[in-house]
Amino acid sequence: MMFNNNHEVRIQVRGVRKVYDTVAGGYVALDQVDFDAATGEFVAIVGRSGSGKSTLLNMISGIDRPTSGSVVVNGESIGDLTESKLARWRCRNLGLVFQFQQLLPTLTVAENVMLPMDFAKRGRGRDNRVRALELLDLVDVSDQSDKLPASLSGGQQQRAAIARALANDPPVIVADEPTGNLDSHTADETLETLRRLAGDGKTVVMVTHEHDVSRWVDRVVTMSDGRLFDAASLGALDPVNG
Amino acid sequence: MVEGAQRRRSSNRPRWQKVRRDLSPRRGRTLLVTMAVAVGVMAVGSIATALTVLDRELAANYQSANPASVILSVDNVDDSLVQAIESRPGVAAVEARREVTARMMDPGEGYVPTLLVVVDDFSNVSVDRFLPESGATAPGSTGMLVERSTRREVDLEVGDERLIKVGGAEPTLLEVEGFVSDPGRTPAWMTGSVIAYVTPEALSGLGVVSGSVELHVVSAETGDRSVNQELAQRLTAQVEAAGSFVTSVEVPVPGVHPSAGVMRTLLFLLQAFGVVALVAAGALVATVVSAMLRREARSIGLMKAMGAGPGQISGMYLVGVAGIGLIGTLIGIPVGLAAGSGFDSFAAGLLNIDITNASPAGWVIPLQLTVGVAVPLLAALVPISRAAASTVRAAIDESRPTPKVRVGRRRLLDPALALGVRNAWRVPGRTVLTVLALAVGGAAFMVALNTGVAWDAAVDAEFAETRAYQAEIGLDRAYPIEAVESALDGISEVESVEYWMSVIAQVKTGEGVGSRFPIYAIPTPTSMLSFPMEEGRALQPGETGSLVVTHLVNDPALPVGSTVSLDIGGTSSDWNVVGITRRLGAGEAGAGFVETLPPDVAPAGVTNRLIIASDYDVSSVIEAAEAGLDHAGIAVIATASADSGREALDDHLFILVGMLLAVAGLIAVVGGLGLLETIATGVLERRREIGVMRAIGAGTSTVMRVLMAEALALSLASWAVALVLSVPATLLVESITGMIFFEMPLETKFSSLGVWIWLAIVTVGAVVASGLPTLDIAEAPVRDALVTE
Repeated sequence: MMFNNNHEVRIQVRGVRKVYDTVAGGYVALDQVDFDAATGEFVAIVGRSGSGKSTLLNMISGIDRPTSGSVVVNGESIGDLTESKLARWRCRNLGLVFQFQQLLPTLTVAENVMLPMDFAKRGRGRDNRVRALELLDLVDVSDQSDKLPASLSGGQQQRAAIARALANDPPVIVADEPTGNLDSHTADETLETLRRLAGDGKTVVMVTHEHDVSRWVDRVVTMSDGRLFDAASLGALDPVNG
Repeated sequence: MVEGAQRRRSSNRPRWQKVRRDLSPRRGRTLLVTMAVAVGVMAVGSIATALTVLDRELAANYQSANPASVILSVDNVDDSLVQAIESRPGVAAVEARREVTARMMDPGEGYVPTLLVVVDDFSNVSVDRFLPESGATAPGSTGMLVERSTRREVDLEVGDERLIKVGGAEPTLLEVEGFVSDPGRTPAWMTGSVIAYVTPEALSGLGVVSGSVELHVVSAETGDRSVNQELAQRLTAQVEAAGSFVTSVEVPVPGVHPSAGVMRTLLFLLQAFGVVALVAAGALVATVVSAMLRREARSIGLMKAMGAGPGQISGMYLVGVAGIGLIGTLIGIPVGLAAGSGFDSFAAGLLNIDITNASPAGWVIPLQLTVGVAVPLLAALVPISRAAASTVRAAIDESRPTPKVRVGRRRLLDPALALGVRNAWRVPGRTVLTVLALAVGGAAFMVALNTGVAWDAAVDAEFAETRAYQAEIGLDRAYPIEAVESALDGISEVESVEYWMSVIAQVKTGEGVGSRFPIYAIPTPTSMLSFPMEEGRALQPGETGSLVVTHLVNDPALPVGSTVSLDIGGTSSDWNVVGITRRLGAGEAGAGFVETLPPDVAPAGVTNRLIIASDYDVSSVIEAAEAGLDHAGIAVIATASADSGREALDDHLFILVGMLLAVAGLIAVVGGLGLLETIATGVLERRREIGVMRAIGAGTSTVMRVLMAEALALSLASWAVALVLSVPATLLVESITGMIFFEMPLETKFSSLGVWIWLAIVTVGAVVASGLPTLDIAEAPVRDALVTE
């Protein structure tokens, strides 16, 4: 298996703590988490439900803000950005893949892929369409480009969502349970696509319930009770790059 | 075909493509929001149209009649005097007319009161004009023209012949040769009197050879009543210097139609309910727009995750909301204008006016645009700004609202019902708007019925409690009471009679003439009438020179305790005002009561008005009495049942309550749509929750029970709020309606029937509102519901 050896840090999480207010009091979702990911690295974050793995992903993608600590992605400390600046930053730097309801139902598949380009005010409409078709071809769903998402299978929708995440050619791809809703064959295809993207130099961080992803990822880290553990400390996983 | 399977041409600007497709009417939810906006715009537009058109056309119709500024009743007038008045400075036009009280035979109904307006030249009517409607424009010597509003009371067609009787003269047939509209007169249905126009020759044919003449004078300064009063004084002096005698002077309030009270009531209520409809429509639009945005929360979250900035998100949704508002407005504007025009036609028929220009005021369409576009935008501004500025996570979480309800320790309801009730308060802002919109409709409904009950009670109090007689008979002149008694002697239908005298009095003030009203000389105490006193006291036996006036006289020159000089048939006399009594009546201008009149006005022991109490049928009483009087050579000029005034008032009530209920219904539809939207949105938001319920064994009936409990909780809350809102609203509307119509506030009344009917309506509404959107989800496969999030 090929692993990326470029050690330039693209994602740097330091001392991040996230506390949610609940009726029962403060709930600590992340507790002093440190995390790094390098250029071209494919990292899987695993853990049980409620362990804090999706919260960490939200911090990295700027979907949510830490209570304390810092998150630097591609050289930008995103905790300091306003929502407007964060949106512009996300356009250029980040592609997001979710588990469910990824595509906007009233837009065609191609339009869904073009939407981030529209938000980023990137290129002319016709050029954007050409790029969208190229990206859909990359994930093998270009024949579905002018259909509405409801007529695509779950796997096709997930691949179209990956194409959309690549729309503005971001250096970082984050994926939250991208295979959670897919059959094993389609899940393998999706993971292979993400693996290929990492091979092309993108940093891919994926949250998953699946422990058996070591074939595709460079590194697996585990979340438990809001804290991050490497595989060795848990003795359950086989981390590649520590 | 499945929508998603359709191949579509992709847009190069997907952001706006999404906005455009979201507006597609095929999206049921969008259609509901659009229709909600349309109904709101329609409600506001119809009321504003009705209001502005009626207001303008009433004034235009009245002014088109060129109404008299001064009316002098003169014993006789010749052409030279008329010309002299016309050439006088300050006089724009003058016309001499006679108005004669008569009766018309209505087959099957008997004689009905009739006013004959005698016109010298039908081709040259310049003052208090009437316009040809159908048939002849001028009657012959054996014909008459009839005011069109009469046809609501008496069935008449061109070519019909009717017996007309004036005083003791033989009844004579006159043919209906045409109809006219007289926009300056109180419609016949309000006064209960036929209005007919005849030539002097026709009047002669009816046996009338002499009588007083009215000089109708239009002032050059028509808008200033004080100028008109000075003119009246100068004209009176001029007429009397010419050797004629002025028996009364009338100076109408300029620009105010004689039946302005009814019109003002209608217009006031339209204004009040227009504001209410505006609030309800605004609340509905705000409800549906905020609900729609809540459904879009996940899409907003996704787009933010893709890099959409707050400005881009706000722009998309503001354009979308404006688009929905505009489409709804474009639907609502023509429907509102049509509904308003329909109401105008109905009201114009009632008020006997012609609508020559049905266009609403220039501000109506801008107001509709404001309601349809600006209100949704304003309603959307806060949720859009909040969603656009929030974090992606918060935006996505918006699609799963967290219950914010308190859970009591004691559970009185079963779990399904308790869940439904709590669900109703999951999104408090939306709940408040929904409850408010529905409550406003409910309050309007209750106010309508409450006002009807208060009106009914006031009229009941007047007719059932204060009048102990059943019939009135007016004689052509004063007759000795002994002669009348003798004529009625032995007529079994006439069980009890009081002999009154009625004369017309005019208040004399330092500045000139004051109010003009009839005075009744009555036995004291009278057994026919009671006197609910507003102020002061009733007449006492043997009290000469004391006067009690009804509150409708409403003359500042007649306070209780004052002494007033009255001109009665050219004789001046002083009277002490001892009390003001309440007396309602359609078209009545007030009246005074005394025990005896001055001897030179009416000697003791004479009568010209018979007040009859009897348990017999009223028409048989009148018929028998009239036959007896006729046989004795005593001429009857008018007959009326005591209830005839009540019928006219009941007609007013029917119109008033009917209009209130129509507006309440309109607002209720607006509120009902809000309820439907709220329940539908709640169901959509909780598809997963419902899926979970069904997965753990809840049957369809249980799911339906939860959802109906939610709708019922909202409906019952709106009912309770409506009940509370209706109290101050009822006090206000009853008070103002009474003041405008009866010049006294209606006694506060509440209708329990309205409360329970509204409860039934909102209960049925809740079942429908919850049933429609829940039928599909209740039967949907569990998996479908579970995977929606």
